[in-house]
Amino acid sequence: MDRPTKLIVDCSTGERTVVELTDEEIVEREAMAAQAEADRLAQEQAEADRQALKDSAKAKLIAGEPLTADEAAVIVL
Amino acid sequence: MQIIEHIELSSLTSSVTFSSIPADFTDLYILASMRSSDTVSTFEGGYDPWLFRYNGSDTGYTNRELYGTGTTASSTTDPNRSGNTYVTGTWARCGNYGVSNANNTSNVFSTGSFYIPNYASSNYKSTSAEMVRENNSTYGNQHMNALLWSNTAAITSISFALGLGQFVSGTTFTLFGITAGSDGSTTVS
Repeated sequence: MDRPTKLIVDCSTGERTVVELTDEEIVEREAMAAQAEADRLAQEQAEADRQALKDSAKAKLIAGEPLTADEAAVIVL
Repeated sequence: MQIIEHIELSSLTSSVTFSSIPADFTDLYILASMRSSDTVSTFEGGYDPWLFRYNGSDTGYTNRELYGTGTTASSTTDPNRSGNTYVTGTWARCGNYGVSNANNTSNVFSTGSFYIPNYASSNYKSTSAEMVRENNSTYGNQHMNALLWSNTAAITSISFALGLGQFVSGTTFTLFGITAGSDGSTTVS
């Protein structure tokens, strides 16, 4: 598998350089991807939880039922 | 407003850096059209976070994000971060649901912009960033970010990357310089 590359553009000269990532940069990128994946899962779960609260709050409003504090917080601006 | 550099990628690229940015202008403006090679996320069509850093620095970034997913709108500090401070390793993040990945409709790219006023000053650097991602079908995400880099150094380089994948061929970045007039207003040339 080809080593990933980065592009550097020198704005003072216009020179463009394609550089292979170093071993350290590849390790950094892998750590970034792991962090991004963990963040993605947590963020998507938080989004799903928020939507569930909104759906519940809406249903309760329509039915005239009391909302929980969390349901009220998610729909009150 | 004057073009400083324009980049169009012709192959997969892990990151893009504008280096040796001249200090001749007052503000900087960057327009981007991006797509990611990543296939992991399928949420709302599939996305990859847009990452950046100034001068290669991995510290001092904070962000408040207002985003809409097409059905909801939220202003949030991400629960995975301490307040607004990014802990994504060595890059700051803008537009968490931002860039279309390989699961999106083919040939659909996300658009983003950065406006950096007084980039060469000795003050902390604020940035206004926006991005839109849609898949030409059912999803449309919008992000507005108020960013702050708590560093007094002039910005001389700006780098962009993605959280999970690489930029695909056809991705573009254009760096503009904007000069204030002698009365402090913006000039157009």
